[in-house]
Amino acid sequence: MPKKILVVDDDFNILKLIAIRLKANNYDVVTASDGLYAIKKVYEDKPDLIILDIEMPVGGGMGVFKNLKMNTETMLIPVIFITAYPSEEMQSKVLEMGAEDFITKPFNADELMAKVRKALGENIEKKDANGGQSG
Amino acid sequence: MEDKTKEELIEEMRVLKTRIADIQDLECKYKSAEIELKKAKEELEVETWGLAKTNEAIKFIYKELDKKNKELQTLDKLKTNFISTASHELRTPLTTIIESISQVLDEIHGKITAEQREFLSICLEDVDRLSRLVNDLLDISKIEAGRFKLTKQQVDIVSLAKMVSVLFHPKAKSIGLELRENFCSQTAMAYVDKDSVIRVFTNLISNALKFTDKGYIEILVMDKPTCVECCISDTGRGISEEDMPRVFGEFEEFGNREGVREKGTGLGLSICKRIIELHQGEIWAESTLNKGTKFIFTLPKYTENKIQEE
Repeated sequence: MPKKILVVDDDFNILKLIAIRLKANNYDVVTASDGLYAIKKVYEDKPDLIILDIEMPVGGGMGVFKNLKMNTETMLIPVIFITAYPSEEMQSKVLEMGAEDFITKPFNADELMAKVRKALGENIEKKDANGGQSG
Repeated sequence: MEDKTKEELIEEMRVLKTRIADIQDLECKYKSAEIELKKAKEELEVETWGLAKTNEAIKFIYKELDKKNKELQTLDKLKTNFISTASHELRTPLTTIIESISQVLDEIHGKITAEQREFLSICLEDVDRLSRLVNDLLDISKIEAGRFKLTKQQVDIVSLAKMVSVLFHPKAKSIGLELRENFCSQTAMAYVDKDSVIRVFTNLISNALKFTDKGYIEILVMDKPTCVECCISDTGRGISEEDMPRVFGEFEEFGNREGVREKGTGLGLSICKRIIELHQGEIWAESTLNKGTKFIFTLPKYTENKIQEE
């Protein structure tokens, strides 16, 4: 059964592109474009991983993250933060708070997939949708 | 009444005259003192007026300083907001462009022809360059706004240089260049921000690879008594004497750029200079046209005193 990933980003294009990339790598993908809807989807769909944009106007990424970490049902779901403004303090802060990893926009697709596989405890060297080796 | 003698009367008159003279003398002194007092009072009034004016001027200056301080705080906040807003507004569309092109190149949306691959690769190359330019511009903004924070720690520059060198070996080999290492000691401990120094090494080695057609690039690290001195030298095209003053300038292009392998952002050397200066080090270049170039920089040594000073 394919692993399920929830992608949360207020930019529709980025949301769509990440979803396409993940589906091409045989993951099930659920999307949300704001924090409030994202929390709802977490409880409904119980994803194995969450890719979460930090900078969102409605229900920011940090708020969603804190909410998930306070709840026993959701606190163990790994979260990869995605941001366009990678300050060192923010990176250290979110990793200390328990985030699995951090990715900066614009991201490299190989780097994204490597971090997704690592967060899901999968072998990083994995065949991609086109049969080529990637990682 | 007793009749007074003539002598007694003369004596009384003499005493009276003396007393009158004394009184006149006192009167004179009193008048002088009065004049002095009046003068002192006038001077005091002038001084008081002067102090009041000075006080007014000081209050005005404080008010102006307060106003300027608030303006500076607003500017400071605007700078920080600009950096984070510009970062977000530039990086978000770049993400969309890079990922869209990558997905087509990865044939996620169907097969593509060799010609389509060629043109899309050109697009991706330039968008990657644009992305690096955005990163460099934002870093320069951060440095200028005083927002570029250094996290200093004890770092072995020899190990750091070896690590960076390993990353560049494949590229050097692929273009027929030798990448040499020359470490004058086993270790060279410096007190630096590790990521920033890696950036300096990376920028300088990348530049050397770009502008060297044949021969080698050498990475040298020397543990000197007062600093750690590093040098990236090459047998490349060199820089002319008239271009040397512009070497660390922003967006400066000079020399023979024909056949240069990769387009840079024009900010790499400027960022190197700023990073080294933030570490209170020095950076300079020495070059001979058509023979090669050396970029030399110094880093503060790690000592217990250094940490206490900081």
